[in-house]
Amino acid sequence: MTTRDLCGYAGTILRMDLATSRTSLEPTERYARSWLGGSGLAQWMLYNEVKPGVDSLGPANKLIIGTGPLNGTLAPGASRVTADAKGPLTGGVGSSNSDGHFSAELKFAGYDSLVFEGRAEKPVYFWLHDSHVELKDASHLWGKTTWETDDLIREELRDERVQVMCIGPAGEHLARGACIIVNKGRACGRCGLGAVMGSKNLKAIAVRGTGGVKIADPKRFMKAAEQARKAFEGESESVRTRYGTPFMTRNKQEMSGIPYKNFQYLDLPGDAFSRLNNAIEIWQQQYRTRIVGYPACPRPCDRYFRINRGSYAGLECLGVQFEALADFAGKLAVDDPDFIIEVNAYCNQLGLDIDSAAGAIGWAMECYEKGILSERDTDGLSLHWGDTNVILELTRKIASREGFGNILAEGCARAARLLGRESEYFALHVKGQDLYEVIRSAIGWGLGVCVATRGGGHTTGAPAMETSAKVSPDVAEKIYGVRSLTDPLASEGKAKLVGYFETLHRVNNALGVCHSITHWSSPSYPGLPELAELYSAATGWETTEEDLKRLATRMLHVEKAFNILHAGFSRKDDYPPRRCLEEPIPRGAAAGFALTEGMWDRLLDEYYEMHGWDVRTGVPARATLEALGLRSIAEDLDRAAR
Amino acid sequence: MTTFETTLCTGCRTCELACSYHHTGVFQPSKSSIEITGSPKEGFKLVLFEAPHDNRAACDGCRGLEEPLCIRFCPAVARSELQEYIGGPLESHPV
Repeated sequence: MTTRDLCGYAGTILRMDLATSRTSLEPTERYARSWLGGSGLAQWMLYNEVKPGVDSLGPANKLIIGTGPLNGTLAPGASRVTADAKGPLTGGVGSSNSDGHFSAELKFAGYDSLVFEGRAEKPVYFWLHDSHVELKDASHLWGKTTWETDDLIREELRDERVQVMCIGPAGEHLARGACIIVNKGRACGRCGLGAVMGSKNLKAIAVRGTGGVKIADPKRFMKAAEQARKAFEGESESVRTRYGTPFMTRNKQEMSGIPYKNFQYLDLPGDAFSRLNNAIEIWQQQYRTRIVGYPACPRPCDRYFRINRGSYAGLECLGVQFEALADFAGKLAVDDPDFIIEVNAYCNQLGLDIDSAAGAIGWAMECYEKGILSERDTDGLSLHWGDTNVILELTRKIASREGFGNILAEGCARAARLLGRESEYFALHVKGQDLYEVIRSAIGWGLGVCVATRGGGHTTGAPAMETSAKVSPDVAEKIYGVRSLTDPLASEGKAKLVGYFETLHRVNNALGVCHSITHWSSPSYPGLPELAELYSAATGWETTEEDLKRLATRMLHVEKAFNILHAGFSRKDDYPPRRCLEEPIPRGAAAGFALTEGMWDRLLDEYYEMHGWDVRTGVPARATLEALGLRSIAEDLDRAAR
Repeated sequence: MTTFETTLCTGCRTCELACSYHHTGVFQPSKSSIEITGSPKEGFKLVLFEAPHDNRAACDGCRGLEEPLCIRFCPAVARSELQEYIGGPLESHPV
């Protein structure tokens, strides 16, 4: 054993070579002073250990499951687990995280991170019970859904407290939008990391731990945890807890934030919105059997549904979040709200990210509408908007890579390149990853999505409050440094705002904390000062808000360099899809507003200058990297440029 | 031990964390006097250990504290139920 006692952190990283079944242990301390938590450690390991040219779905890629120093403690919202690898959709950074009980259990087992290397010869699952480590045969699980896999593993191990992360058929068939499912309904959704697991023949990761997480200064930590929780007192059943994130639907509708018919329109037709809005109330009153929460969460937002009427009566599953509404009622124009619960559950069972599934299908439906695709291309299917049978069939085909599904399983960007026929205009993606995020109705949000190193997504820099919060300019300036926080169509200050959230999101992701209980959701929730206090008390390493900012900025630069070296991304890859720059918003609150290339040029100039990056290429300047203590990265970038 | 059926419990197990901290100063649910069992589908049960069991300490109602830690950290949406259960048996089983 080469590990040392740490506080906050469990102290040990476990590496598993799937090809040889050999394990090795590494002290977390080797990384933890210079890098922050789950995704912070993981991105640095990937940068050093996975070289450019490595196939994301080949054995030389590595999959790192990580926790942060606050997981398994009472720090509010510390229930996230991270998954990081070279991503199969973008060819660059792959980083995703999920709620659930897994992260705490892994800490109790005594580990901060699990690094999966190589490829098993046949399907296996990883079983960790405190110090016991085993690769178990998974041939009987191969082909099973994530729900079946979760049940079978806990049955086999005879312990209901075993926590499982697993893939479904989509990951097994290497669909590039495959996800990793946690607790049957939560997901490391984005970036196609389920396909990386599938490429390693790793069906599932199961953990059980009986140890504990030690805290350096317990009294100080408890004081900080109680203080941080005070923001949520009195929220006995907030709208978020009552409805989950679908509570945002009206606001998104009113603020042109729903990607209707593959982002052609940014709101739902009035009658469709009314039906959906009524359904959200019915789900809460009639389908919801309980509110579901995860460790240390002060305001749970998951729900368990039992559909008790209509076509899907009998279906029981975790409730849908807003993303599913945007994907299916929005992108695919589904008019039957209950179908959204059905198809969301189906995607979860297949282990397919809903944004990716609906991204590829939305592209195909629009191509069909425009006459670019016909039944000759689609295995005879007529791809009419909102056709629920066709959507289910295409979802199944994607997960099994069958027929037309084999093209869709590549994600909309690759699918459009394969098809040609000028279909690329209808592939709404950033850096190769499908989107659910509307870009052109909120400039800061759009910028955060477009510069995100993992290719789109709204959890590594996008400011959600731009369209949703009522924050006075004075408070906005004090907390976020920008007076224009809630003016979505203003460009001024938005680069700086994205910079703020790039830091906060990375700190949250690395510590294992949910964004929704931090300054991302409200200025009255915990922010960087509170997180610095919790981190300092937990680890015993005195850390200020400025220190956290520096750690997060180092993470950002590692990711940026990974993207440049692995995927060749440059300034051109930080622009929105063409539709967003060529079509004014056709109707709704922001009707007539048109994002232009010139506007985006200026935003990127400002954003790159703020970071100390070359405005022509987006490459971090040597001086910037050296100031962050990342000289070796500057040298790598120089070498690659020569 | 006493097992309670719950209707409001969200299954987050924050009470286990809080309880184990009270007894040991470490976050270690396996030593907690409370265990949450079940699932979102079947519902959650709260098992309260009023006497030591395996590695678990007996619930002492967080004697000396203004309010038991499990209740203090329980999400507001479920707290009334925990209050009812933890408040009840302890009064009838003084430790």
